[in-house]
Amino acid sequence: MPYAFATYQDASDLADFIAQKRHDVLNAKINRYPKRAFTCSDIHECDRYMIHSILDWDKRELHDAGLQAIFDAGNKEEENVKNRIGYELGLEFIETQSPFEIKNRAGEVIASGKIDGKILWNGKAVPVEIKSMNENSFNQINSLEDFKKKPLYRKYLRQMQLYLYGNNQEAGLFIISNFRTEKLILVTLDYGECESIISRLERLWEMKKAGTYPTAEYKPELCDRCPFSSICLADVINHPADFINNEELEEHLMRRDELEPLVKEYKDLDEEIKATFKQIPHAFVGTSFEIIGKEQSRKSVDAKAMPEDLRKQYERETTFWITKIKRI
Amino acid sequence: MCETNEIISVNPVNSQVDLIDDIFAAANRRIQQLEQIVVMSIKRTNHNDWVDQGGKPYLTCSGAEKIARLFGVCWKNVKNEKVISTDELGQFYFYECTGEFTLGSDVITAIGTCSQKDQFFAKTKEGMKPASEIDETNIRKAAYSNMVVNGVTRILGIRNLTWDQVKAGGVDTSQISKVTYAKGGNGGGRISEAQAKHFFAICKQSGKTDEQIKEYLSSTYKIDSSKEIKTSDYEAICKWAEGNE
Repeated sequence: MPYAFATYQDASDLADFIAQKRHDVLNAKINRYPKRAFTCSDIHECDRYMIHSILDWDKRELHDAGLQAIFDAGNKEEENVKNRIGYELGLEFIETQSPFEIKNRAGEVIASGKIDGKILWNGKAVPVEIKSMNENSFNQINSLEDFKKKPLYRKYLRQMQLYLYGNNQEAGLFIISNFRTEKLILVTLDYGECESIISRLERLWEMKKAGTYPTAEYKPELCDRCPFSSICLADVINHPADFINNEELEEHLMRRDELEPLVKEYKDLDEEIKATFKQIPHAFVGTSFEIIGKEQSRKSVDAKAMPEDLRKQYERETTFWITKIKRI
Repeated sequence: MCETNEIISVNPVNSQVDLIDDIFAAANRRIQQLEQIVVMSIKRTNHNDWVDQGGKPYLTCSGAEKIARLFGVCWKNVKNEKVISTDELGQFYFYECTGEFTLGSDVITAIGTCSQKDQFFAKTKEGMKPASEIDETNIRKAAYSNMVVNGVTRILGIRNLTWDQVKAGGVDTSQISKVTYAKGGNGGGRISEAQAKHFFAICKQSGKTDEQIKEYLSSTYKIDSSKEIKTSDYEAICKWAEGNE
């Protein structure tokens, strides 16, 4: 046996060493850098954040080791995806991490960014942006519409639109990875959206040059995790929930809660039984139940089969209220 | 029909007993409301919103923000200022963050501070980090976070909660992080759970009783539990446990 047996203390010391060293390595990577222009991958929804990100880059709160580990895993996964999609499928990735710039009318670079690369396809280069995410987020994203649901994903959309605009490209691909498999989502250049992003950047650029900040406006989904919250110091306005003390109402809610599993059981059984009696016009079960069935027909309009322009003529927006009841 | 000159007769409040009854009734209502606030507040949080600090539950800023939204606690006129101070070791700075917290018509001023000497940011095995190695944004942010936690918990009257209350609110306390430094290499930290178990195993092998261990830790290191053993003292304590010292 070439090595001595390890003791409990050895194993314990090794665990402490690994934990400490890993923490140190992650911490050493955490840093902040000066910015001269807006970053295309970080077009935030808060105007004030955008100004802070350049004028106060040195006061930005640093992220923690846990988040750094996620960034590291994301970078590593970008390589893995390129391997899975690229080398294993015989596709060639080119111009990886190629930089691009957005200029204003005066020719000043107001934003800059990078795209993960392009895939050569039939002699043409298709831009791709790889985003890795956890299983929950991965399952939530199935279309471009799903990107609009969260501030972070909306940033991805703006990044891709600016890239397509800045490089005069008609379309690109998002490759979403859950660290095992991928989803491919097609993005087309939206001139209206690009105009809106760029005019906003131009307005903010002028504020940045003047050293002025937009008025702070508290939005929990943006502000609670903002790295500039300790210098922005926005007034926080919260609206309280209604607290209702009504025994009868509470009893009804309790009863509703009790009945909920029975509803599911009823629906499952109903479905199963009706499937059993499909195509059977008349039957008895034991001496207690008579089952009658008949074929019926109804007329309906298949909206999905309609040409899109015709369907759009009949689209109308209605507002409705959703009430979710959750036991706490 | 009400006329302008109508005489309204009221029952006279003729004794102090009635007044005291009213005060008691109001106080009881207030107690019930406060109990409800505590329960609802905790239910709004999860294990990520709490840390075990020195054996007591401490609400984090994220938890305080969730609770603030539930009850409509607002804050404004926030100032976060750097203050230069001195002590026997020389000059140092701290951030003092103040803000006006409101809940309905109640208004309080809350303060949160964090010093360059804060042990979470500044302590190492060798002592205090020099100022150049401390990220000032962390100190400023911590002062702000402390102000939010202080303001929200004070105005709602939910300070000094117990583990029983936190558990009763449905929070999985076994998943709550502890503020220790054993694995983080920050020095001056506490030993890991594995080390504590190892220490007990040595004590049992050498025949030491729980009373003897408690007495030794208390008299020599001024601590009540093996969880509080500092990593720097661990070796010496293990030697004692083996009976060599």
